[in-house]
Amino acid sequence: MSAPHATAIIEGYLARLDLGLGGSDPQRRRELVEDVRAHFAEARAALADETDEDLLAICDRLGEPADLAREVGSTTVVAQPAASAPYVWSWLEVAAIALTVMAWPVGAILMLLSRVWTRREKVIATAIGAVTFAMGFPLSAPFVGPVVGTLVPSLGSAAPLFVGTLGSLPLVAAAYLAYRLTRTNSPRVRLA
Amino acid sequence: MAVDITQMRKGLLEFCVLAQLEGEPRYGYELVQRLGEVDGMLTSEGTIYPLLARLHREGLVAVERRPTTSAGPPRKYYRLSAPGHRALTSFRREWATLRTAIDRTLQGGAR
Repeated sequence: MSAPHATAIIEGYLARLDLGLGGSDPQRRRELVEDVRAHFAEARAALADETDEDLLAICDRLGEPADLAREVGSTTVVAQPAASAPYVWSWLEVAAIALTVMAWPVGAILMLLSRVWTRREKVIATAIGAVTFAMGFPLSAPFVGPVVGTLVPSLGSAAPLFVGTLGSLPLVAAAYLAYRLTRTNSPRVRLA
Repeated sequence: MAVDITQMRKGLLEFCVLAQLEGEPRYGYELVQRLGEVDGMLTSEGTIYPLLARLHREGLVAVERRPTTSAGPPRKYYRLSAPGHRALTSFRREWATLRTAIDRTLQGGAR
């Protein structure tokens, strides 16, 4: 059985909420009023024999309609950077990836300065980059250098060095960083 | 300072909501009840609805309507999406680090 003033209490609450949402997007406004109406229905269904006091207690627990309406406003403002933040790239990340290929130590420093990659990703990329950078030259230069020197005579004695540099390109590290950049989708915790 | 705590609570609440949806889809009132069981989690029950709407807009949760067993209108169920899963995993990792750091700092301040 409904409380004596059930309609007045519930519809009064919803009307105040709707009024507070006056400046909001019409769809969001409709959705929130509908959600809170459903909340009333669920809460009332759990009552054995409701009274006006029970309904007023539900209103109290919901909070002031004006405060709820403000939540929509505040979350709307916060939602914009939160939705786009994970995908914000800047010249720093692009330069870090490019220089990881072309001049690994410089690229590694830029990567460490970036705030987009996590600490774990930085450690992995640094490890891959360092190993390939260190191993590339001694592994590839002695074998491939003479061949390239023959094929491209203009390189002359610089061929082993040239090939060694190519061999040491930490391509894997750069590819990993680029991959993680596109996969990053972690909303930052906003404590302030 | 009280305002700052409220803001902090709000920021953390969204991940608590995502965590509640990790196992199975839940409807709004169910979430209110579950979070209400944890002391200090919900200062007002109504705040959950604008939050759920935002999580839906951001693609962290998906919504589906399911009929109820009673004669009432269909319930709106919220389900954790793949980006929501990733966000929750990422938050858990960050939170573990942050919690340790804050605990250490606060304990250091008390000495």
